[in-house]
Amino acid sequence: MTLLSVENVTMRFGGVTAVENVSLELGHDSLLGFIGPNGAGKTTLMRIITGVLHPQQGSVIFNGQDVTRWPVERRVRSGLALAQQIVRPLRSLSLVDNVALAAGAHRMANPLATLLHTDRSAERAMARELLDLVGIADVADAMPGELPLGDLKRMEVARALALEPRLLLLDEPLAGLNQTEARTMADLIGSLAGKDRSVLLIEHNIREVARICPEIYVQDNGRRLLQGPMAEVMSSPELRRAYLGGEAA
Amino acid sequence: MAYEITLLTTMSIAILFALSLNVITGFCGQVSLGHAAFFGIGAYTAAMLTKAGVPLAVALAPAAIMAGAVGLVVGMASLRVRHDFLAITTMGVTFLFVGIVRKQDALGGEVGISGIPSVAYGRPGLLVLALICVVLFVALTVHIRRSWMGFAFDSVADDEDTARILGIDVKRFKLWAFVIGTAGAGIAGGLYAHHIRFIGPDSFGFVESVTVLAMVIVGGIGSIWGVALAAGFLSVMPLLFQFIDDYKLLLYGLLVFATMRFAPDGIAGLAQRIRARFG
Repeated sequence: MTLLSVENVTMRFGGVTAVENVSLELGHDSLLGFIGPNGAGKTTLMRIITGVLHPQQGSVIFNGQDVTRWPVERRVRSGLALAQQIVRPLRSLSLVDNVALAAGAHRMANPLATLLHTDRSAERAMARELLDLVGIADVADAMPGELPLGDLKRMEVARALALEPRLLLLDEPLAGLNQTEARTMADLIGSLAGKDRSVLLIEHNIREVARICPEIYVQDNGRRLLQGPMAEVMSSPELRRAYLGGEAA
Repeated sequence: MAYEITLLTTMSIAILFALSLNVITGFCGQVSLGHAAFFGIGAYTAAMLTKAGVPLAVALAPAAIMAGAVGLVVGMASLRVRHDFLAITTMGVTFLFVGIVRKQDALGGEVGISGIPSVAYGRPGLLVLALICVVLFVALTVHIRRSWMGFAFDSVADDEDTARILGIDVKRFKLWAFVIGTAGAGIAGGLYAHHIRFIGPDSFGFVESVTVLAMVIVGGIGSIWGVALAAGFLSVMPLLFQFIDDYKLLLYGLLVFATMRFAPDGIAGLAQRIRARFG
């Protein structure tokens, strides 16, 4: 059964085609690695899935519904969450409040009803648990401006998890982290899939992707190259050609 | 005593007016340079109703509704613009309001509306009504700050794109900020019309919009107590010292410049820093 299905999507920016006739499928409770060289159109496809961009052609089906024209917030409320490549914490809020806000996203559907709720204790408790899960409980009350990139990356993952998504999109969560931090974060990501949650992981760190993802999708030059089991894809000549150029050995 | 009552009424109206802009600009981060138009809508609505025999306490409700309804329309028209472009768009609202009112004979045209009836119990009655409105509006804004609506406003003011990714319907929250803020300005306008007892289109021009924005900036954008303090202080200074009235715009301009340069968080931020250092 498919949770996410991207069907024949094309996205152009003026005369540049960033993504061309791309299709991608992701099942329930699965973890799919998404790799590709620089300029492959990975982030563009991620932005199409989240609804930041709307493709000129093709469709995005999520949980059986065509969400191609839905705005971001509607997709999020239907069970999709994103941790962005460039961390964007809400800088006026502490880490715990950043995550608590996401934990209370279900309250936000009706602005007038939000006026009736003042209690944030349940959401803050949940936020602290999630910050503990990603390993930064000790800085929960700090402001984002006081913390290094590694902690903010973890906060982004905790914030996305607080939305209780059925599909978690992670855009280069390991970028900017040192080897030890990247390994710890990858271990965490590897443990997130399952229990009615799937993860789509865009990442440049192929070593970690190969270590934790059972299945992989490869995109090159805005086109789908391969999708399949990790071992099969990693040994394919097309993948080597995409990364190393020229004829595959 | 009459003089003190006049001062306090002026302060109360200015505080209400500034706090109403604080909901839009301070809480939700939407810069508005056209807030005087909604002050004017409330003033004209309330003045015409009281001239028709409706008590002011009752007329303030339609004044708020009318200003809030126009605020909703302006908010909807402004949804696609941000930052500088939003400021320019809202600035246009003031010019539009003044331009329309000038050409409407039913609204007194260039001459405006005079002979606005006094409130029951005279000036003390108006002061009591103004104070009640201020207390209620302060209570509302304090509650908004504590509620999930305030939490959502914080996120919209901070980063709209991130707020969207957290499932927040940014457009609808912005519209609510506009409706609440402009309705508050409508009430302040209704009180103002009955305080001055004469209104004309020039009472609600661009200068008034900038003046109220200066109060919010000097008080500390988003701070309820800071904005109330700045509005109260800045509104009565020209009444206390005649020479300040002559140079009001110059003084406000200097204060805004000094605030942005030396204390961007305004009086509220300054007080917080002093408390942190010595407290």
